[in-house]
Amino acid sequence: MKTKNINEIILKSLDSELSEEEKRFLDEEIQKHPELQSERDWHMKLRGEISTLSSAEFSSDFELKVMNRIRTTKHEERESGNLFLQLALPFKRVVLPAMIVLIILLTYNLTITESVSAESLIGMSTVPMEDLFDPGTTLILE
Amino acid sequence: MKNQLETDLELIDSVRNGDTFAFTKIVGRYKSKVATTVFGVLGKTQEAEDVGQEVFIRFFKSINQFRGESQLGTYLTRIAINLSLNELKRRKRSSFFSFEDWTETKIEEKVQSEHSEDLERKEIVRKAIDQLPDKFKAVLVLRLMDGYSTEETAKILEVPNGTVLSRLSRAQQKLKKILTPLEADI
Repeated sequence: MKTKNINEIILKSLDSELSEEEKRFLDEEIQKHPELQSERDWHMKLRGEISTLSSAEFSSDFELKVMNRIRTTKHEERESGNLFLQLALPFKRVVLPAMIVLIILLTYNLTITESVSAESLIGMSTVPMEDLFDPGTTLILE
Repeated sequence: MKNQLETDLELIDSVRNGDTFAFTKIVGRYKSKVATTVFGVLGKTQEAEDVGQEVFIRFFKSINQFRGESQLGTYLTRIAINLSLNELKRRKRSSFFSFEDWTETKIEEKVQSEHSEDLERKEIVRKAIDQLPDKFKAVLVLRLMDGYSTEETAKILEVPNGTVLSRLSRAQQKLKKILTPLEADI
């Protein structure tokens, strides 16, 4: 056991059981160097001081403050939930009929075109860019 | 202790069933324990009290997740230590752009000039603890102020027992380094 470990062993002795070897070493070192005992006492005293440091309490109306904050949080959550419902409600009334109409339309489109494609689904054929900007048409118009 | 635990669980069940008064009882029962932890880490400040309130609000929100595997006091202490350490991080970030360090020094000087020895000594120890790294401070508060065992402290911080012991030992060595020159001045 090296001398450099003596401080660690002193601190360890305050916190947990030392092994037989460590105990023997500590006792021998304290007998040889009595100042080590005062070192141990200093740490013991410090521990005592630390344990009394945080004896403070929260303010007397702490429970009230907590419950008020909980109430506010719940109210806010409810409000945000209400806002969502308020926005969703008008859509809720029309969503089912709209879905039925949409399904009927899509089915009808698929049936009459007899092919499964995005174009037949929406009932429109894609117009090529050339047709959209046909210079011939433009000239005729002029 | 078993009765205490059962009563806690009964209160929690009542809260789950909508009885908010039961929650007031829980706050009353554990506020001292939470105060010890948050004041231990953050000092006696308004922020510490706010963190204390936040501890109970977080617990209220997550009350359905509490399965009673650990004691309620330990569970609340875990929330308290995590929120307190977060607050310390926030303080460090904000003090980077402020004069907080300067004001701290002024307070220290003022404390040293006070003549009430006991109060002075307590304040000096408090300031010395404030200078410790957060992870050492957390161990010191849980182990020495809250009075948790090494094993309980290790569980709360989710570290091995050996880490708790070594952090505590290093914290005390650092405190000795900080306090010894100050003691010579007194």
